Amino acid sequence: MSDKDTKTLSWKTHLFEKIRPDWREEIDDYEKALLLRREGRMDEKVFMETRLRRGAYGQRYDNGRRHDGTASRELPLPEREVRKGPDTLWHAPGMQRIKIPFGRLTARQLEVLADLAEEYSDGICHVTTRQDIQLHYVHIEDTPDIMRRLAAVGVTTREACGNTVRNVTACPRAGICRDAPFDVTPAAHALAFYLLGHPDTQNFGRKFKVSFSGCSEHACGLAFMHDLGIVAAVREQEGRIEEGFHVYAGGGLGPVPYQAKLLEEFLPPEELLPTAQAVGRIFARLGEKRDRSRARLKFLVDRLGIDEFRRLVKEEREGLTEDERWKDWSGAREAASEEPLKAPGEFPDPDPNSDFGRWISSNVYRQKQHGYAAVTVALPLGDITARQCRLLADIVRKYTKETLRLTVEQNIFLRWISASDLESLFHDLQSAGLAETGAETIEDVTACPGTDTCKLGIASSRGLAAELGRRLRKRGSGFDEIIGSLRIKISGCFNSCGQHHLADIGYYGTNRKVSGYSVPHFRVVLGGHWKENGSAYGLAVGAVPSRRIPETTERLLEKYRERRREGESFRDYVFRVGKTTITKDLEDLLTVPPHDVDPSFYVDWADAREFTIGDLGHGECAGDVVSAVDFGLAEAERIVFDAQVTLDSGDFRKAGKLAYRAMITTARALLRLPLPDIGTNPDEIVREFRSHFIEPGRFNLNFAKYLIGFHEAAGETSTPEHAHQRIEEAQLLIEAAHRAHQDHLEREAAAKRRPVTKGAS
Amino acid sequence: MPNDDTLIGIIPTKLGVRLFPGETFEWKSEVLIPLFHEWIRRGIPEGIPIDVADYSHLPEGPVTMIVGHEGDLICERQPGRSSLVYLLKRSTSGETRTSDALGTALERAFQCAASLEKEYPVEPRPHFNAARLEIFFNDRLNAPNTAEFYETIEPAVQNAFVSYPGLGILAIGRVENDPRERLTVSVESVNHSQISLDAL
Ligand code: SF4
Repeated sequence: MSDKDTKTLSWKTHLFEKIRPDWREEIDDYEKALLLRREGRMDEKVFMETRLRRGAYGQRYDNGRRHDGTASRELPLPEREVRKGPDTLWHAPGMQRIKIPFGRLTARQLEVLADLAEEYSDGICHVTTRQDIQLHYVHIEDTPDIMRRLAAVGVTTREACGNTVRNVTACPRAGICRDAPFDVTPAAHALAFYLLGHPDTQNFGRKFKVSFSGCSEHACGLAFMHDLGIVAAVREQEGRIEEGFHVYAGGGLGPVPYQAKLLEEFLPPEELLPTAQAVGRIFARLGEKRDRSRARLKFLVDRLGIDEFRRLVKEEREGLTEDERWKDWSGAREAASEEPLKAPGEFPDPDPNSDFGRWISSNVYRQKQHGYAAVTVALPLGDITARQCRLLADIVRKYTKETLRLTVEQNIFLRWISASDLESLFHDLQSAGLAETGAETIEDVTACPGTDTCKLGIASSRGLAAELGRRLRKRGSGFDEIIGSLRIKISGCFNSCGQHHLADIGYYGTNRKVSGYSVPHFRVVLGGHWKENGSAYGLAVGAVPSRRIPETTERLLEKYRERRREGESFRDYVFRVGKTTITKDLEDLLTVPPHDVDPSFYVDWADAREFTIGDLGHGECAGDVVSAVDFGLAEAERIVFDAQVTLDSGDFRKAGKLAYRAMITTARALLRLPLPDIGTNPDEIVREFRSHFIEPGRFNLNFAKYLIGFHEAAGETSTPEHAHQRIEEAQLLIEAAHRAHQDHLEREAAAKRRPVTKGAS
Repeated sequence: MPNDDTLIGIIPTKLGVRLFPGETFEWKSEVLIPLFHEWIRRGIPEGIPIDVADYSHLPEGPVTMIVGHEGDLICERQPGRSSLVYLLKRSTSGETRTSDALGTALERAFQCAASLEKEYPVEPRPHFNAARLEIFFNDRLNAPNTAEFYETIEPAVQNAFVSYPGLGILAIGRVENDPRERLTVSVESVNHSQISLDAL
């Protein structure tokens, strides 16, 4: 394709050759969905789930209202009647989440992220607690180009949000860790790309999170808080060491945290993909779909019990058709392989009180490979500027073969640094403003986006984290090792995206009414177990006014220092002294002075407006479930759109073929009701459609005839008029399918309302 | 007579203007946050201001900004200097020429800078010097950071300054930056080393 005659160049044309054809087609389809929605030809809920599945998420104030400190006001955005989801204005800024499987990035990808941050966002890349990158303040119409530019460097945003398998995370130390029996990266790669877009993962009631950990002792993979937590394991069989996995299912944080249960004590590698697929199928089939607050896998596992769940998974696994990808991980192994750029070196021995010495002790990890180190680049609140991304890309190229990973603690991890390069690396990072010390210590506070950008945020988690970080860094070297190694994690609400349940000191945002005013508070959750894969959650104590959290933190640390027994961990201390004592310790900090005495209590961190929860929106995670039928019909609609464009461009034969494809897609969408696994063979689809819909009278025969007739003609058209007619018929068939679907839902609801007769089966 | 710039084929509305508030001046987010919330209430800057974003925890880049629909106003900290950027992201005012879009961005940048000079509530206050500023193009596809493209766009830049005779004769040149950065143009008054905003 050529750009020559275009006055304005487009990324679509420019990157045509650089994007994998299947990814290119997916993005083009997504762009068509945008057009259809803009013209009101796609249902807003279906569009919302469509964009969520491409990582295009809502953001605070996207309902077009914002409290400006005195009143809630309408944002004067243009075309307020155009929506990108229920109560979500088309022109309101949104967030683009970019899925980075197990956090692995290349220097080139980092550069592209920098460009995107500058051109479409606010110049910042934000690293999330699930090894994703988020860009904020993005316009929906820019999202297809963002996706193209990412796809051209091998990154897809597919299934970054929505009711899908979210980013597969893994320990950033995989492959270099001194404690892991083997590298989980190839397994994480194989599973992430196997589940991506897999038909069995498209019909969930909620999101599904998978994580890999290299060992049971450390926290890196946080296996216990995942829907599917996978931990590397080895066993000896007849004198041979075998590699495999402990598999846990049904964990999750959120308002009701659950620890995952052991699903498989030892799963051989070749069983990993089919087992995960079987879990997905069970979740899609039996997981809750209507009550979204109970729709995560953890509730299903809890309801069935892990033994019954295991039995169902095994049964499902047995029925799966063999797939060569289950055993053949050669592609994943190759893609995941890493090597150093330089020869191993000697570790330096700096003055521990120098900047370099402090950085070495907090940010440098000795790899299991002799003479190599991995370095944590600590990012304040997970943020890095576009310019810093480029500088980091240069640094990564200078010292490594582009071996870097994002971490769940919102940092960047550089691997395979020759130990003798550490000093020079430190200086390079310093000149890029990236040599912050105290990585993964008490100073390195984690926070979710909170009220800055999240629609569900109650209090300012980032504002508080920035304030705490500043104060703790000032004290930095004053902490002993025990205090220094504690973790603070903050969420803007009970949904726990900041992973506060797992922190030694966790806070989550809440609101309290004081003399008629709203006052931002944080509930204190203490003693979560970050180690051993996040194996235990913390104890909730009182809610403290947000302004007093820095003092609360000081007090908690002081009391711990005072009362700690020899070798006692913070968690053991918290559970020994108990909630009553700790609440008493904090008693004087729970009060809020009257508004006229100290109005600062009524304003959140990094804000100046009087606090309100009036800006709270609806989380898009908790929207309606869009069924496989809705998606199928939306796809058919897109194909009809394509058919019309093709006919307008003069290719009537191709247009006719597309109209035929739209009809088959329509029939297949409806068939997902009785036959969730229906294939794509048109003969089979038409045959099954006859027996499930036409013969029992569940589809208007007048419209069904269009499908039957065109199928008999094998989708051939002889004139442009003929093609035009078929396109019209395809559109009518889609309308009829929507009605048939509606009838089905009503029949189903009526059946549920009918009283059960005794003895009926 | 400057060339007509409608034919150069770039999306004209994605560009920024960078002004400098004094050699040693440093932005304070605790001052900017309340001020910017107040500005949003008053509809400043033009172009539908939406929210305040604060990145003062970072060692460089945006300190505090107003994110808007048509454009963002950014108080930023770059190595060794502070600056104020008005970034025009899209336009609903119908600009079809680069010079028109640049005109809009310049006008909004100067307006905001003047308001900051007046309303910044603590000392030291920013004092902008209009004799030296930068323009950058926020579109790597249509406005690549190359010498060739700079040659094409330069007349449009010249054209945008016709409405600012107070700046005198201008020296306009491409900034030799990292080629991965955005195309940046420096604009300096030949006649004056210092021009206050009132003189525009
Ligand atoms: S924890 Fe709450 S405020 Fe934070 S990102 Fe999640 S939903 Fe938003």
